[in-house]
Parts: sequence; structure tokens; C-alpha cells
Amino acid sequence: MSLIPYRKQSTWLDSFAEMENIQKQMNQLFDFSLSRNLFGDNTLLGGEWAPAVDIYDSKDNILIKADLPGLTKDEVEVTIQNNNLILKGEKKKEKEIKEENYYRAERFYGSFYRTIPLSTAVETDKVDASYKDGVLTLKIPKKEEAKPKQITIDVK
Amino acid sequence: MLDNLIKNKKDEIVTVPPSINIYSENENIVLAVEIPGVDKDTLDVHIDGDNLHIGARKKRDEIGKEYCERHKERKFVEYKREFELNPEIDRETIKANYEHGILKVTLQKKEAALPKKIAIKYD
Repeated sequence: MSLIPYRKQSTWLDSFAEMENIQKQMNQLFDFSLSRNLFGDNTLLGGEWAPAVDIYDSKDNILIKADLPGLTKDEVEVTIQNNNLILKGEKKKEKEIKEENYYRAERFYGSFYRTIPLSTAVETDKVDASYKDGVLTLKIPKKEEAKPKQITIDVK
Repeated sequence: MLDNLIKNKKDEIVTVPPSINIYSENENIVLAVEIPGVDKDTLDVHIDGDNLHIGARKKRDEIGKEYCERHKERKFVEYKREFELNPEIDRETIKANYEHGILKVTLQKKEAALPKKIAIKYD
């Protein structure tokens, strides 16, 4: 028989408290693993990264937001081809820092490529792109013929 | 547990440890923290005893009412990370700068901890 400190488990309430505790810990575990690496882990084999993207849609525009921290303007390339929006670029290491000066390197570096299919025809030359605080915002106007048209009904 | 996973997480703020690079640069220790699109008012860098705290919260996107959400990957999160400081690091001089979604925290070593160059006399 092993020596385990005796814990009074008098009421059924105790086991519920224990369950709640386990639930809390499990939730934390899920929060951590789900939120940290959306695109697989950054190990040698699965070393893939793509920016997290939000897509919004209105009558006139498509709005896209992408998290691209630490990139300068010329490191990101945005193109529209065959109704697909392509986000392409390379996250480069800061050149002035020598490898031996690193204590810890968790940030991803390397090239990325992401294609986002656009649901409607868009005005490719009227795209408004801005970059602020590591977030790229694209406002893409829809083509006139792709916009929804209201049909008036004549009531006779 | 499953209930909580499925439940709408929009109102709940998830805390995430941000990716970080630490390197030395001109006798300083620099921490480069990847936190894109945060609300600058929530940026919090402070030293508490031997610990360096870094915290920030994402900015809520101001999307016009005419827009409808189609796809969502960027989460509204709180970034939080803590580091224990080496006794050699000066607690008083700490600099922070946020640019292009990267927070750079510069820490200095204490005067006594800096390497001293010794002049060698040649005959």
C-alpha cells in the first residue's frame, strides 16, 4: 500500500470542485495551443507560416486585414490575378544582428504565400492598401456589374 | 469543457504569449516582441522586483456597419509575457519602442557588469 496523504472527501461538492479545476486547466491548455500556432507548429518539418487574415464584405467593397508584423513596405507584395488576391513576401532577419548574439529566437523568418479567393469581380486598379502597426488593410472596390441591384416592383 | 470550447469566444479575452527574440546589441539586451495591431494605450512594460512584464491588448477593429464578416482568423487577444531579469541588468534604464507591430524593449547592463577594456603596454 502506498502512502498517500489522507484527504477528507466528505461531500459530493468536493468532487465537483475538483472537476471544475480540471476543466479550467484543460481550457487553459486548449487556449494556449489553439491560439499560439494556427498553422501548425514551427518545427523543422512543419515550418510553415501564413499571415492571419480577416475578410469583410459590403455592398461596394471587400475589406481584408492581415497581421504582418515587422515587415517593411517592399517586403510585402499584393497582387490580384484571376479573381484571387495573393499575399506574398519574405520575413527577413535583422541583418545587423549576428547569429551568436541571439539568446532566444522564436519569431518566424522566411517566405510566405497566401491566396484568398475573391467572391466577385473587383476593380483591380482601385485597391486601397495601407499598413499600420503591423496590420495590412486592403479595401477592394467591387465592379459595378457585380454589385447587387435592387429591382423595383411595380404594384398595379 | 466542450461547452466552453464551442461557446462564442468573442467576449472572452484569451491571453497569448507573443513570439519573442532576445539578442544583445552594443552591450544592451534587446527584446523584440511580435504584437501586431495592438492598442497603444494598453501597452504595458514594467519591472516588478526581478521580473520584467510585457503586456498589450489587440485593438478592436473599427469596421463600418455596412460590412459583414466573412472570415475571421485574427483574434482579439491579450498578449502577456514575463521574464526574470539577471542581476546584472540595470532596473532603472529601460526603453521601449513600438513600430510596425514589433515592440522593442532595450535593457542596459549595470555599469559594473560591462566589460572593461584593459590597455596593454607594449615596449
